[in-house]
Amino acid sequence: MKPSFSYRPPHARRSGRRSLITVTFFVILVVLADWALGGAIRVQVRSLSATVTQWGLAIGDSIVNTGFFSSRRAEARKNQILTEKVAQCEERAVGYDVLKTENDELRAMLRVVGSVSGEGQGGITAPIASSIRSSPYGTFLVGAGAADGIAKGALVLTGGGFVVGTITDVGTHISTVTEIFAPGATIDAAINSATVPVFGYGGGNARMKLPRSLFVETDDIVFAPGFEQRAIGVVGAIASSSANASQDVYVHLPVNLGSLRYVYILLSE
Amino acid sequence: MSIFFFQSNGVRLLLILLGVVGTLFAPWWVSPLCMILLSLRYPAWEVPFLGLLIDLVWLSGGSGFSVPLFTIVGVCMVWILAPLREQFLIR
Repeated sequence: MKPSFSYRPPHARRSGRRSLITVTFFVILVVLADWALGGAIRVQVRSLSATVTQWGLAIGDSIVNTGFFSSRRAEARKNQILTEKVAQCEERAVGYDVLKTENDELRAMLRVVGSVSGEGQGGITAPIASSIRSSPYGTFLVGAGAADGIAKGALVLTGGGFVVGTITDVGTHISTVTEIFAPGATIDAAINSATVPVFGYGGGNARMKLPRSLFVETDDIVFAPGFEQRAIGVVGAIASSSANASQDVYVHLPVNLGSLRYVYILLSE
Repeated sequence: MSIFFFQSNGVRLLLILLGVVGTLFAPWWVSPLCMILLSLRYPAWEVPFLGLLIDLVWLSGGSGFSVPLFTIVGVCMVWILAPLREQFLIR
């Protein structure tokens, strides 16, 4: 039998393999240790990453503020401000619709148990401490933790009252938020008296399948019964065909997640 | 030492740096792309570390054990692509 041939010297192969075996065992050990310690390693890494992110953003701002990119920067900044203003206006307009809908429902019912606006529940405003687009799992970090009274499962809202996600990991000063529209996530949502599952796609986008007989319009508000009937998004587009008995409804948050600087976290009583 | 040593290691270092920085600042696909490129070209022990970093920073514990997908993918990639690298890499 012909001996196998390789361009690489045998000692390099052995050394490379040894490194890989060591690293593989080390990585498995870290994952198991983190799991056994209830996420203690994760929390430390996230605190460090939040600090590095803040430094990175500060360094980026300093470089940009030197004026080297002034003309381009000025235009980009103006554009960003206008985009944020438009997003805020859109969110306020939709927020107004939410209040109007709520008001109508309250008028229709003489007695409503609980409140959509979250009366009686305290909350804190927390800064977003990480990039939102960097997570493959639909998560992001906020600069508030157990020291601020945050607990697992707390709801995270936008300024307009839309649910962005829930707190899934809590550190002392940093917590992890998992978006309700994270890739692969499914939650039950209510729209125009129908309750159907919504499939998350990340970035504040989701899709739902509705019977074609159910009348839905763009900008209709989607609520989540699992989140105390709070609003979770609005209908952005509808794909309907006469050949199908169902229609695809695309739902999104009325605010661009990337432009969010702060979120509101409801504290459990 | 080959004249391509520093050039080759420079590219490797650049990909590692890009992977680490990308984990925190860039769109989510940048770090996995660096992992793929590293494991295709080098016997890169850094690939499982990059996967571990992504999982430690972004994977939510939720209730119970969450599967550290990128760590597993990183470990699998460096081992699965090892024979390919060993046969075709010229140093």
